[in-house]
Amino acid sequence: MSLFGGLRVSASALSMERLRMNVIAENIANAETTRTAAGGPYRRKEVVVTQAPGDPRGGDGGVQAAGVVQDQSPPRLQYDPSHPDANANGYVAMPNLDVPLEMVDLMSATRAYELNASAFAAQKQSQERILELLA
Amino acid sequence: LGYVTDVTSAALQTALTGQAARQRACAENLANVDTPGYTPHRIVFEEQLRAALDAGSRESDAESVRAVRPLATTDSPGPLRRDGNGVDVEQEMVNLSESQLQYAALTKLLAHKYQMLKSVATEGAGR
Repeated sequence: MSLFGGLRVSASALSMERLRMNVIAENIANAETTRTAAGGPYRRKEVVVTQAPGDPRGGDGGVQAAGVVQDQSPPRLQYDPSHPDANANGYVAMPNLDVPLEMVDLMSATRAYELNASAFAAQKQSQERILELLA
Repeated sequence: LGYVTDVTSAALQTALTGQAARQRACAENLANVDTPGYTPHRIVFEEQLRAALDAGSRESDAESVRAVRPLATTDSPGPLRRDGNGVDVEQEMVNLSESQLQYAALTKLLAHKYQMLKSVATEGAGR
């Protein structure tokens, strides 16, 4: 086990939570987007979180994002006949996301980020102490 | 050379290694707080260290004390959440803080021991 391995574990979680926050921000920003390059309304994106493979000698480990996937649930239909993207029946296909739910996920990601920042600081303090033995 | 490789130094080293492994395990459990199906792990070494110390307190036992390695176990009470993740954030933070304090105490003791050796080596003029 390397002296700074634990710091990298916490750092991997910081990057992953940052990615989650970015993806959630993108979802919220596109909550009303009815037209995308791929056609149709914006689809909600989600980060797939997996445990990072640990080296048998006690290498990095930690957490990683296996990818960002699109939520395949159907778009939300909203009645708005004056909308340029309304269909023949007057319904507009809106993104399949719910802003309050995204806000809850954002808070969860923020708290997890803070948690891992604390874990990072705690380990850093211990390592500083052992390095003081050299003084 | 028994002053540097004695049982006290060995016990301090083993405990420091164990606490470092524990902090890493806490970091890993906290990093995976949102990983579905993740089972947290804990580090145990105190009982083995105690047993090695109780086996005798002569210089020759320093090796058996130093040979104690931190072991990773998973003794969680099972998944606590619907996504199968068993990480208890509060428990991990408590373990991490406790380990941090233990580590600080062990480092102080080791520094003190080295200071004593230095004092002896320089006939008390090393300060």
